[in-house]
Amino acid sequence: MKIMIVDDSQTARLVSKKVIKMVFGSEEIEFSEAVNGTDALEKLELEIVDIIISDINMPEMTGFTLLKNIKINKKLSKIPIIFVTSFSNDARVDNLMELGAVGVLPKPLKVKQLSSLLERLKLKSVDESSGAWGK
Amino acid sequence: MTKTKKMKKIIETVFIDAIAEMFFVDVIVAEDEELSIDCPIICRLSILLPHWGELILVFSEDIARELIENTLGGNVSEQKSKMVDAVGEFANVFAGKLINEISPNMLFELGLPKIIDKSSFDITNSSYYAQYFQTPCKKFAVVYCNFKNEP
Repeated sequence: MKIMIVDDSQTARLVSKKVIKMVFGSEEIEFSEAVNGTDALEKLELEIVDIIISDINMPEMTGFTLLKNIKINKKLSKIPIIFVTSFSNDARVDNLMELGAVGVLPKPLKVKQLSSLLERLKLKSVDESSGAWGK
Repeated sequence: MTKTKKMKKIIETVFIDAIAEMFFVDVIVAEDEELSIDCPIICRLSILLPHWGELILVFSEDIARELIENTLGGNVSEQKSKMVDAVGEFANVFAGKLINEISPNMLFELGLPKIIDKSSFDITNSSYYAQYFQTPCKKFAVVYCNFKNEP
């Protein structure tokens, strides 16, 4: 499983990686990191990822534009994209789902919420033990 | 409870929760409210809608370092950029949670967090709510909050 994390904050990327590792437990996870939408699209030209977890507000190219670009690209359009945001009642969150995001989670990423979403999307098998981290 | 006390209580609860969620560290309200931060990392964030105002977070380098090292591991003693990044990211998380607490289910808009110089940091306006926090090691963080249009 390879997961791309897109966020202009290094802290946010590191926190996300830590949470994702907790969610997947012993399963081997490979990470790819990008600092904005442009960087993500460039990297996606060269590598294949299974899931993208992206911030919304980023300089140069936002999560919205990234999502639009991915959805019109035949090679990338099937990759599930989860957005994380500090502003979960932001007016634009609904738009992300309409544009094809598979979920929008509040920042900071939390084990229980991410785990539930991935299980619901069948991107992760149900693992009761992950509930121990669920805070 | 007065409006000021109520607001300070909300700031207190949200700040403590946000620090715990993001950095896995417990902070408490400071006993001593003397602001004596030598090398502060100051982040200003504007609240544009629905209530114009701003948040200013002041972290000592010590507390920023402690939070990052606790969460992410490693030694960041010489890497101020990491501390600045962490404070900016935390400001976003804190602001989102604070606005949700003040105006649940209301749409809002925030500016991007900006790190500012100590020289341009001047809180003389008494309309700012100030709340002081510390880790068990007495390292300081301060939150100032000002709403021009009271929620």
